Amino acid sequence: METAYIEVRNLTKTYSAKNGNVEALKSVSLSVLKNDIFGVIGLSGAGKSTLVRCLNLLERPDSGEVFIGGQNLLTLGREQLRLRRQKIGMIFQHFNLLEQQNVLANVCFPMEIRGVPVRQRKEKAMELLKKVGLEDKAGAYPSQLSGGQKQRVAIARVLANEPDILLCDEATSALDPETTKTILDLLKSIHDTMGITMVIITHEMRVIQEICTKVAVLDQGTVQECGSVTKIFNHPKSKAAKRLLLIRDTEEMADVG
Amino acid sequence: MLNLGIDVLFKGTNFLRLLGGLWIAVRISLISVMISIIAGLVMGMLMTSPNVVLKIFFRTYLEIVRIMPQMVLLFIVYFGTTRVFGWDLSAEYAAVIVFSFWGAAEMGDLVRGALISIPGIQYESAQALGMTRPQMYLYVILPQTVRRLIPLSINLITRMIKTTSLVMMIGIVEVLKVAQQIIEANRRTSPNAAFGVFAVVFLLYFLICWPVSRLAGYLEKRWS
Ligand SMILES: Nc1ncnc2c1ncn2[C@@H]1O[C@H](COP(=O)(O)OP(=O)(O)O)[C@@H](O)[C@H]1O
Ligand SMILES: [Mg+2]
Repeated sequence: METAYIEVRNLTKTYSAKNGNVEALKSVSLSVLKNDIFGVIGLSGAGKSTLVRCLNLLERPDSGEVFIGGQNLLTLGREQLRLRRQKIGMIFQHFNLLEQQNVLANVCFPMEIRGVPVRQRKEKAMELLKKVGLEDKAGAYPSQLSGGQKQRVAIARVLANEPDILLCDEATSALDPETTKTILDLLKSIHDTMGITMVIITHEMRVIQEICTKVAVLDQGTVQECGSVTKIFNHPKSKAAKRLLLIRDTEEMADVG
Repeated sequence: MLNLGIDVLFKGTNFLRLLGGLWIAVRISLISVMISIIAGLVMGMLMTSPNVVLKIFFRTYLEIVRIMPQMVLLFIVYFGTTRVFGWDLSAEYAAVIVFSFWGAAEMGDLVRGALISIPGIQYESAQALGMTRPQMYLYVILPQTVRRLIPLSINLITRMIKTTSLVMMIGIVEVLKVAQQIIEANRRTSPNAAFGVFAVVFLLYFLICWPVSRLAGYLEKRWS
């Protein structure tokens, strides 16, 4: 059997809020193979963001283990964790660019942090901007870009650290369907050419359908079902998966009608 | 023709005295503003702490500052300290203490507001990029905080400069005071002097506050 590249075991996380505790994750286990495009789908509040933030320890789980490339992240010291994080790229629904800096500077930024010399980082940034189709926008400021273009900049920026893993938390949720499609195509081509293992978090079945090879269905902090996308789409077993498929079908009908 | 009495300003050293008074006012403002900004930055950071004791302390402090008129504070510090502790505090020091006490509280509240308005996701994406803590504050959090802070603090600074004229109440020879002295001295020869002299005082304040508030407006527009 192939060994997992990302593996979480029995993750639990409880938030204490004013009106009682929220069990965001209840003993979640998953394994993602190298080069997978692994989807995690669930309705809002299912625990998806909590799960993905445990993968680079932005959130510390209450219990459980997180292995990346065989390394137990929870045993790393602060500095080792920081260096490991540089190789785990993450993109968000809101692009979090530096608004006062132009596109080129935004892409150079992670390399500047790593101490890459100016000429080298500019060269690399231009190369990355070309890859995401924005080489003509190098001098523009984020406020002059569309949502899709901003997400492309965020993708170029994250690639500047040469990650081996890319985590996407609702990366296309702020975008319209056509733009979503082009961003997903871009992610797919990055996966194919650079061999990056991806975890795609979404609440939309079409996103999973578009690029994922495997999918886990998350509901109320537990994995309801996990396996190949075709299997779960054709023979959903869990209530949660059936419900998500129903939502997709209703939306498709609405689009047609 | 109506004599507005502007001419009394140019008698002897009157105009120089007025400018001298203005300089004292500006000096009080500048020193207080500087102390307020530094103290406010530290306090603003402490105000975001979850510590309950700190929270209650700063909440009370801010309430006191907002409820008490600055004039009352001035009287308490200037006359009160002499009474109670027997200190011979100069009026200028008393003014600096009161304005700094006030400014630091207001500035602290602005800093607190700016800090908590930075969404958590900003910290997270900085950490996800593998930044060290100092890098995160220096490159991501601080620039955004300062950007929100500058127009607000300029507004506070303008208010502080304007309020300095209150100092007249405890007898600092400061703009309004000088103005009043000039008016009194010329009451007989130039009965309308009050109008002209106060017009000039108004103009002087305007000349100081206007560029500051224009700058505030400009920065606000540029950074919003
Ligand atoms: N920082 C937090 N404090 C308190 N509750 C939280 C926090 N983050 C998430 N939650 C709660 O945990 C649950 C899962 O949240 P999340 O992982 O963001 O779900 P999803 O990303 O699937 O929408 C939700 O009920 C949410 O309200
Ligand atoms: Mg979420």
